[in-house]
Amino acid sequence: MVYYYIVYQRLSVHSNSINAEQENGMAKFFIVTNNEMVRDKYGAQHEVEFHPVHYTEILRMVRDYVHAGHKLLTHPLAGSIKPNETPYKTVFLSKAKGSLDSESLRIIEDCIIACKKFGKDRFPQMPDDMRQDFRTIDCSLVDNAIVSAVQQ
Amino acid sequence: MKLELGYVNIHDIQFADQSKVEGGVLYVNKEDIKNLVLEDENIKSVELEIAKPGDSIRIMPVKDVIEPRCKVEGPGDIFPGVISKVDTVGSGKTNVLRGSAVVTTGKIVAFQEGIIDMSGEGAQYTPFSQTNNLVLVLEPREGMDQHEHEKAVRMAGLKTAKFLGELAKDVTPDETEVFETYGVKEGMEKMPNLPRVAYVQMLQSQGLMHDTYVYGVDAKRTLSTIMNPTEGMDGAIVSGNCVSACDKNTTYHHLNNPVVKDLFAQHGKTLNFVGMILTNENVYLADKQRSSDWTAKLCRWLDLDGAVVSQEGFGNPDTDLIMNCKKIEEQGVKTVIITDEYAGQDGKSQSLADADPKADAVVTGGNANMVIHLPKMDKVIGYPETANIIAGGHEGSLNEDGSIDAELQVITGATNELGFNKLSAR
Repeated sequence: MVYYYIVYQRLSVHSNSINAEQENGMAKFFIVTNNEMVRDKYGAQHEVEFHPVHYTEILRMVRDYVHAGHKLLTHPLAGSIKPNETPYKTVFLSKAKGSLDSESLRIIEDCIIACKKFGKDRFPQMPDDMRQDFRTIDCSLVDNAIVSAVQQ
Repeated sequence: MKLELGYVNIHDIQFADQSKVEGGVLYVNKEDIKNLVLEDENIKSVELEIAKPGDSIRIMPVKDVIEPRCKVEGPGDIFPGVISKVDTVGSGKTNVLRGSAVVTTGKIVAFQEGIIDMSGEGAQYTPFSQTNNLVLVLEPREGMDQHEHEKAVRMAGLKTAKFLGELAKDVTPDETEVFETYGVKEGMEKMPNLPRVAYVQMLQSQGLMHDTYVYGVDAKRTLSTIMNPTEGMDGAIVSGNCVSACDKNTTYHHLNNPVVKDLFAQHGKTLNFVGMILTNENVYLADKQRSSDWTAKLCRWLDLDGAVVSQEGFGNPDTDLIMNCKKIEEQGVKTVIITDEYAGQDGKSQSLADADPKADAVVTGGNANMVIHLPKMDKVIGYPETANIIAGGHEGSLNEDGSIDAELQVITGATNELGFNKLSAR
């Protein structure tokens, strides 16, 4: 019985499909993003909140969710591209709400502080091809997080 | 496990009719390399350039730097699981073309980074200004996506380094050095009074252009594990990390890990270098918890007295670093962590995006936000127009006279978190 369950999990991950829990509308996470590519790729399968706002505004929204009792599931500074370079940010949060998770709050607060020291955006007039590359890299981080998220 | 490294000193590199190593000179036949690289149908063209220490040359954007090596005796071959069979490496004899390197450059994304200046102020910040470099300028076939492009560039560099390394297979080394570690029981018996110390290496593993491979396995899909330090000297760890030039570990860094070298230097004298623990830096917080739990568990299981932990990258990995440090300390094992800083251009901001009182022994590679001026070079290899869109650069970085004003983070290896860099407070 256990064996079949494991096989099912692996198949489900490799085919990038949703698992049984999500088919029943029980996905444990939702995604906050300002990246259209993430919305378009995962919006049909998962709960994706798309907000066409600045990177730092996404972090503030995430902080609000943490204050409301949601837990952080991905690191808010995922990716080594600096906050004032890429315009795109995607964060996973738990659907379930509980009491304030102090670890989530500490991490998001530290990330917001870390962002501030980078100052103003370096590329305010970003060419389209560069913008698309930043979307792709952010989406690649999401691809990897999804694999872990559906296994939890 | 015992490995002898044979250093074949290279003091010059030249193009020639025949590829060979002779009299400390690395001779490269361009056609040999082109034929090798163009075996990959994803590469449309490759241009070869030479950059030597002191040349007025700027290389940008740099993707990877690789030292040519070859197995002379013992099982397996260089870069196992990637371009050689997956046999376990790290024993026998390996020849090293010390003083030479293969440098790859290519426009994988419009957003670029990584500068090596062979002279001037910038040369002071990168170790690769001191190597005789063969630079591959790689153009992909049309329509290739970024994942395929990154892989093609990575493989071209590794294949070229292996080819060059094999030119020194029958050359008598100028110097040899032996590295040996023991099993747990044997080590305890040989060094009963020395503290047991391991090296915990954190590997970048977040996604496209943020990856590392161990025996060919994508590190993000691994659990923390134990490796013999000499395996890394034969290329068990390969970089697929093209982001954050100043603090990424190139394949050259993995082959020449200074933490490993320094721990071996004290092995049997002041400590017992038990081995390496490899762990990853994923984006999912539950993965971080699992990996750091396992790392701490392995430290305890090895009955360590101390651990040195090195980080790779900025932001997200700060949290892995602190989780590892805290949990290892809680096992009663003293830790030293190695990182770098993003402390703002004035150096006054908080350096890391995470912290804990248990992180009370920290080595830094320097402040990546420090502003530097890079003078004009006579020649630029790669894509000079990328200066304005290079990490740490900004609109206006590239001055009319060809000089660049930018943060230190544009320089490949400048604030390396293994300590393989030139910044020091001494």
